Amino acid sequence: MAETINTATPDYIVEGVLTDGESWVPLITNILDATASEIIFESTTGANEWSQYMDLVMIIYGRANHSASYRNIHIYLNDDTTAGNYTTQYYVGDGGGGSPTGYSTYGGSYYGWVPAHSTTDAIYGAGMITFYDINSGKRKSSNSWTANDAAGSGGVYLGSNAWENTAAITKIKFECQSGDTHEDTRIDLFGVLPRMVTA
Amino acid sequence: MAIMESIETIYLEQTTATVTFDSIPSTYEYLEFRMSVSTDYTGTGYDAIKLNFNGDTGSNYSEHGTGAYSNTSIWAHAAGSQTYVNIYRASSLKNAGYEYGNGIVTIYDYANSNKNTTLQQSFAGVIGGYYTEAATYGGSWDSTAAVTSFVLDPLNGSNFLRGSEFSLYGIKSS
Repeated sequence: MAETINTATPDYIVEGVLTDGESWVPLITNILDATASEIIFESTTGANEWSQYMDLVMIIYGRANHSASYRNIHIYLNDDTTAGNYTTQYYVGDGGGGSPTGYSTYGGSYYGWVPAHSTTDAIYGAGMITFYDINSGKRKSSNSWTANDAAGSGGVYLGSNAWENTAAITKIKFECQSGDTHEDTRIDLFGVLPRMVTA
Repeated sequence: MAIMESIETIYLEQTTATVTFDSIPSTYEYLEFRMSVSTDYTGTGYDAIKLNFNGDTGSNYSEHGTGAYSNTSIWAHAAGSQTYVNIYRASSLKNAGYEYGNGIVTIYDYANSNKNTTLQQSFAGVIGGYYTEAATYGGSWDSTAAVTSFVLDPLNGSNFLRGSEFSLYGIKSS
């Protein structure tokens, strides 16, 4: 796995003074050169110190290594892998019926899906997850969106997700349901800065 | 040159009735508005946020949306000639006090004085003990005036709760 972590001194701090730079800061990029059972993103130092950000945004271009046509994305925060601590409300559509084809409140970690082995080899799925107010004392919530072709069974997913915990987010684990994440999957993580103008 | 810049973050340290973004610079192409919000509404477990541009409270707003909620239904929603456009979703007191709703709103070509203003809400959701939702919305303001300010009020509640957070970003073109 080729991993790039941005631990440089943030370029919006010049000689100790905050300047107006990009509000999205690239933190970590992982590009798989082999299948992987999990992909870990973790706060470290410099620009990759997550306590300075309001939100985190994860952009996914991925695929699962499994015999099915697609696999669900599981996200676990701060090493909490207890499925019952996560809740998802989602709806999905595949265009077949002209309306959403599924909707549910799901007790567990479900952040959309990516194509898998029965889909044409070169097809990867797109996704974006926003983690809100990651350093607050709130129960941590996020929105997730994925869109995929899957050899005729693709579709779109829109979800709201919650982690039953008020701790600041310092670690994110990405994995695919009952299978590895396929090589050449790329996941980028960005931090979104606030700008505290008023008290 | 930064492409996307933070304009202002408002993080409420006490309950507050109204949140205002004013003196918005005209130097961007798009505005993006991100939020994590709850109100003091004691009803159904969710609330919405009324948005008014440039102090206009006339019947000049409309909105459309679709989504799913609480494992019971998918839905579509439309409303016209409103005196505000709703922004979704805020949580409320019926959910636990640490459960906040979320949303991301893009306001397109806001400084152009030849177009009515359109906004798109790519994500709207809340996961609470009494209500869950995942949705997407669009809205419009029937005015060609350039957006220079907007005001946010709870739809059903009287105040935004402490900890509610609103961040406004500007996106530039080439």
